[in-house]
Amino acid sequence: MKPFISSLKYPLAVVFWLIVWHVASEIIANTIIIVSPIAAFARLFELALEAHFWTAIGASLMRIVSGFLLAMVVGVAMAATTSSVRFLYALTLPVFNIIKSIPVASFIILAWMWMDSQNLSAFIAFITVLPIVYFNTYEGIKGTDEGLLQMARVFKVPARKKMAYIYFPATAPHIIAAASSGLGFAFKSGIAAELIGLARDTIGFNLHTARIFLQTADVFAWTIAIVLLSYVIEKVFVLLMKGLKNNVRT
Amino acid sequence: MLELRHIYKSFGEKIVFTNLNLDFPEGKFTAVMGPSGCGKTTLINLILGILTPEHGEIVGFGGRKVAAVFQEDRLLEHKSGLENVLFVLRDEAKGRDVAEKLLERAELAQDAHKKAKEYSGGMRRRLALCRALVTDFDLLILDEPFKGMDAALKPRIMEMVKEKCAGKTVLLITHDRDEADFFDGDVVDISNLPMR
Repeated sequence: MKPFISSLKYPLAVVFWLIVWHVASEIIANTIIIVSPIAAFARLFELALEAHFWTAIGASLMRIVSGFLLAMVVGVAMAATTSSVRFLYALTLPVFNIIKSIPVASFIILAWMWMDSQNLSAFIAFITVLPIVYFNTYEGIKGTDEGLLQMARVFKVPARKKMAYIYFPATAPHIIAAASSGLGFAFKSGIAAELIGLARDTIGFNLHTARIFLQTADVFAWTIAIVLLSYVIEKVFVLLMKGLKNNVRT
Repeated sequence: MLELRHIYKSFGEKIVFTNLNLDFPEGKFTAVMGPSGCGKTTLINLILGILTPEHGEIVGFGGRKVAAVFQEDRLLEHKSGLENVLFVLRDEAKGRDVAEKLLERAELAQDAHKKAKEYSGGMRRRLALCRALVTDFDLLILDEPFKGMDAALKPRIMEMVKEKCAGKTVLLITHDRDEADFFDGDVVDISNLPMR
């Protein structure tokens, strides 16, 4: 019985905050400032019946996920390279620290001047996620059990086996953690880039339009869509990574 | 002949060897003894290339097929006993039979598919021994390999090691004089060597 009650905690918390939102919308009673959750979800269902909604979802998803996946590949590869060459680590560290501390808005504006606004969200998702993946993976590699690595060196174990049996199990939790937080950042920054760059037929562009016409219900509906999308993609990706970790075998 | 010549090794303020000279005969057992902290494991780590001496040279260790049982078991905790043994083989399919026979001989056949993290201390030592013995080594380094082993089982495991290492060069680190004598090789007490 206890696990059942425990499993209800999270959904009950969600319901509680939906009620708070509803009460707040009733008290404020101004649909330009805030709409009720019922109105927001109703608008989301209406939008979901329109083709342009799915076009925007598809376009944003494709670009943001592309940027995210590229950051995963480049971040892991760079961490693997720089962890074994101290000079390269020293060389790249300031670059990653600068990228990490520059506000996303500055990046969006700069990148907007350099490239086509349609590709802006992919680039921004990439640049936002890259340091997260890099630092997490680097930490995982550096934390790999030195005793096991020495053992593998003594027995002259091939590199591919060392990767699969020693490095990957040690770094996978760090990569999963990076992917999990990175996806959220990718969506937030990518959609901000679409909004600032006014990339047509994207979620960001639709948010911009809703803002211009004071369509608050649309803003809420699109935001709910982003949250759901980000949640589903994160779960799928983390599940894939965990499956890979459990089944890894040379 | 494997030779250590004029080895100097220190860890900060702590000097372990100032002028260590040692020869290990080929194809024989050499037991290295000495009290705790006299540098037995440092010696092993120097030979294995895990540590580098500040001065001196180690001759005759390059290009060898080395196997080792470390003081810590250094097992892949989330892999099974069998997978741990197969890990050190280049051709797992070819070596699988040998690995299984070794595990059987070490009385680990029943637990071969259990994860290493589920093994007891003594079982872990036996597994680490199987992992070393499965390879086609010409130099075997054993750092207290029988530590924590069940008293009834230990003689059978020692017999297995003796049999599998016949004609090979083996360095055995031990505190136990009986263990050293069992293998009929040279016995070196490094605490008595003139190295300071």
